[in-house]
Amino acid sequence: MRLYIVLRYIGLILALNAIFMLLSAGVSLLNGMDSAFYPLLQSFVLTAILGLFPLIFVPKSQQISNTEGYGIVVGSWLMACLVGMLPYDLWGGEFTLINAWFESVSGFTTTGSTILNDVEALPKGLLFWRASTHWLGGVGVVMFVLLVLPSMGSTKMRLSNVELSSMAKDNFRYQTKKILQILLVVYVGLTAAETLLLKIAGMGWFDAVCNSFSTIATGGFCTKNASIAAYNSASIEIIIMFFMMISGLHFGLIFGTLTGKNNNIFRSEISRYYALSILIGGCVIAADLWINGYYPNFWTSLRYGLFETISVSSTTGFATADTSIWSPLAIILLMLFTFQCGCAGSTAGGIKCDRMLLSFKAIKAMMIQRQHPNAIIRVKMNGVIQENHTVNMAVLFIIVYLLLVGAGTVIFSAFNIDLETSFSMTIASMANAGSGFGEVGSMDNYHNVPALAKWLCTVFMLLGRLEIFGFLQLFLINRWK
Amino acid sequence: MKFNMGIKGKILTGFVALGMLLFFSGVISFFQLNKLSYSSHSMLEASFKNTELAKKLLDAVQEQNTALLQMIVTQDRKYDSLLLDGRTKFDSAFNQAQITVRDLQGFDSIYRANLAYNYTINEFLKDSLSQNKVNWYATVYQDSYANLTASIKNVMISTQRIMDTKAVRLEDSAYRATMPGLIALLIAIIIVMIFFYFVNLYYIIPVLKISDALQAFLDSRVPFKVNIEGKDEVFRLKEQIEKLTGEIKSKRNE
Repeated sequence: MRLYIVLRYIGLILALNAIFMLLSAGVSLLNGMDSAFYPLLQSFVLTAILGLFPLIFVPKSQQISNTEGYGIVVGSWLMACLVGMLPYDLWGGEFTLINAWFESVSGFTTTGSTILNDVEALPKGLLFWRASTHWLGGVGVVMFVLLVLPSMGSTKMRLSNVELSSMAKDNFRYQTKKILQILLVVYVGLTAAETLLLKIAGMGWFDAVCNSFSTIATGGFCTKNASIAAYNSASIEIIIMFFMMISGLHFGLIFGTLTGKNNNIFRSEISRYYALSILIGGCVIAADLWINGYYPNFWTSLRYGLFETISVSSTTGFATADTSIWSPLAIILLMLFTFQCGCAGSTAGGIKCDRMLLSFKAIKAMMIQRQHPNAIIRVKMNGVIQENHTVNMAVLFIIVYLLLVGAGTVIFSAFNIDLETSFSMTIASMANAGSGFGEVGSMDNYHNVPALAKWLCTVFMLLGRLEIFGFLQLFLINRWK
Repeated sequence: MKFNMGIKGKILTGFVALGMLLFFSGVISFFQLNKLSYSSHSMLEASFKNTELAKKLLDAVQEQNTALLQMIVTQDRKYDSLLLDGRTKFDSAFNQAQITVRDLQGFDSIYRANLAYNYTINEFLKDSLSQNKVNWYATVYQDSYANLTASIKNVMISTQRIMDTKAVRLEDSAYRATMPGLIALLIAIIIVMIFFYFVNLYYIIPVLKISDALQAFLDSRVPFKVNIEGKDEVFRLKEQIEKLTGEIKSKRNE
């Protein structure tokens, strides 16, 4: 592996982060040079120097190997999270070193868990940087650079192959350049559309932009302590619900739907499964809340139940209610949705609907095979026969995912954290959903979690974001010959 | 991004970047330490001023108390002037406090207690002969006097408490003051390591390779062949040596 090539591309990613730090400093300046201005400016200078330094020496390379691709992607995520903690750490307040690292990783991986007791105490510049980390991480820090840099030759293809979810490539029936253009158009378009709609619904411009960044990236950082509940507006909740739902769909399919192509949301089996599971799950939760008397009528129950279901399924983590006090059935259903999450090719984390559906179909095929031992049973998705390797990889991913969740629960329990909190903390971090149950419920935060447990949470967030195997590649680099 | 810098330019830029970082960390540290020094100074100054003013107020009350006591014991009104003198000193110290002290919250209670204290004394002075002086002093006056001195002492205690809170904040500020410089220094160390890696990779290793290949050519006529990345001066040097060794070889063959 050529380390200097890896350093060059990580440098580019850091330079992009520096631009967003400068933008945040600009926001700070526009708000009467609030207390975040100097920390953001200092972070910008330090990150820009660190990022641009390798570019002085290393010439552009047209070819990179797969090993270098993994090195760049994993290295970029880690470095982005490291420099991302600078504004927090320099600003102070509730941000100790570990808290700043937690907030930064949670931002870039679009988990949306926070350590802040008082989000509203943050100056606007820092709130904007917090939302920016979501927006940068939503589409992937490396992917973002590929989107904004005009030409990188075959490097672009290699890096996008490593960064994109292995399940996502199927619905992108285009060349790499076209895929990136689609991602850019859909990502920016959705963000702009939501910002505008939120503004019309009565939100201020600043909140509208920050919350749109969070929604489209399926992050969950809000500018208010009470999350979306603070606005107490049905229209705002409906807009956010719609965009959370959309952001959990494959971006290629959204583009196909908008441009009238055959490869669209309505024809996709996975999209239908995703929408139907949310709808049924949301209604069951709403009915359960209504029957158990949590809300006065079914419609109010549906308003809160559906919002939380979509929020958890899309791994956004916004809240309009304290789900920790809901009935056991509602809690367990929401936990199951935290496992499943959105579709591949979206900004959502977790196991993803694609793998779930593929596994269900594989189980069904196995059952038929047992009844008819001589029959050749193929697993099909959207009418296309799936190779055994794809099915095996999906099942293997789910097994490793569940093993890690189990391991995480045991480790967190060792910190004297109760079982519900330990389990939900692990799945919320792995799925990048953010909002858990128990002590880390939708209206709580991670402030009181022990420092070492916070650090472990960030490891799970990165594992989830890089789809486990991508992150683990980093530790196997020495064996790559 | 395309950089066509030569060795000189690259190394110079590298050192400039490093210098900028160190300068930046220095400036930040200087700025933060100055801020810290100013905060500590203003905190100590405020504490000193508050204590000094509280002491003056207590002295003035004490002076009035002594004058009143002498008046009661001697039944002589010549101590009126001493009493008024104490009152003037109190008012002067209080006015000074209103100008210099930022947190006047505690001083409101002193103001109210002083009004009550003055009223009690004025009432006494109006018809002092008709009263049972010792009884009045032990009951009515003592209450008023205790109220005033307690309110002054409360201000002194609250000043100490504020100082304590400020000291904790200052401790936090000291930690924060070191952070930017520390982070800049850490990044500078990382850049030094990357700088060394690049200089080694792009200049030292190629020069050593050229030197080894040239030595091999001179010793045993091994063809001069070195692979070097980039198009800078080292690459041109390699090409020129390649050309030179080629010419030497062809001349010998002739």
